[in-house]
Amino acid sequence: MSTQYRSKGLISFRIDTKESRETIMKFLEKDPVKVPVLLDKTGKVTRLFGVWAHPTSYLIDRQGMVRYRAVGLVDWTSLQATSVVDLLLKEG
Amino acid sequence: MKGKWGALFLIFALLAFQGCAGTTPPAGSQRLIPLKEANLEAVFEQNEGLEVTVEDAKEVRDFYRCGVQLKAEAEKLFKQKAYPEALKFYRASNDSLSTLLQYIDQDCAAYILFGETDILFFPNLLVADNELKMGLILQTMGKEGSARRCWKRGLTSVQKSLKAERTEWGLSLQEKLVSLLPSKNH
Repeated sequence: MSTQYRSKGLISFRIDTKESRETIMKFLEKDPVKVPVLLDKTGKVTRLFGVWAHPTSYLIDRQGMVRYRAVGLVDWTSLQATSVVDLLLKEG
Repeated sequence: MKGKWGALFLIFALLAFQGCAGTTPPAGSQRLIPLKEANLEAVFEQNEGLEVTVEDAKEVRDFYRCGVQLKAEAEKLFKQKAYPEALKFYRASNDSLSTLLQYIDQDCAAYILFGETDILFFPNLLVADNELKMGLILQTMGKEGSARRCWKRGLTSVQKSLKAERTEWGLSLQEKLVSLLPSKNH
């Protein structure tokens, strides 16, 4: 999805909480992803977003507002997910 | 038989993942949690950041974050002596926390969210503190009866909190509420 929507303006990140770079690198060797992985070493970002379960996904619009939150695994290729992304991208 | 053990394991697993949310430590065996560990400022700090409005709250824990954030606003207004506005925020905070308390009704000094991440989870104590402040505001407005009703509700909440978690914060709050209520009322 990240590749498909990048040209339309969607930027995706993964944020890892309280894990070392080495642990993440090992994980990525087994399960490589094209999305940049950001390190939240102290858990501050997780706290500021009010995350209480992993994984949690947020869609942030161009104005910086959190518009959508999904707790748990999400199929980002599903019609429901892509329609939300399409809607936000159309807003400009 | 297999089904029975499966059900038992499921129940165990659910309790384990809830952390201390669903467990009551035996009375008397609890350590007294010092004020420097559990206090209002620390609760505010843990819930600052992304704002959750009542309209946006969907999950049970959203109501905690929302209740805490509304209380933080109420405290600012209270310090500025903007009492009628503060009262609105204290009430809104208690409404949000009351929704949460219908589902998770126990305070916990280390409520496990995931992995090694835990938070101070004190809905009952926050409700009690809100009732204390609302009572003080109503008293300044000359509404003595309403003020006493707030303090009585506050005392019930603080006692519920102390039953689950013994904190210096809770004991101090209890002491304040008791001192405000005439002895025949509690």
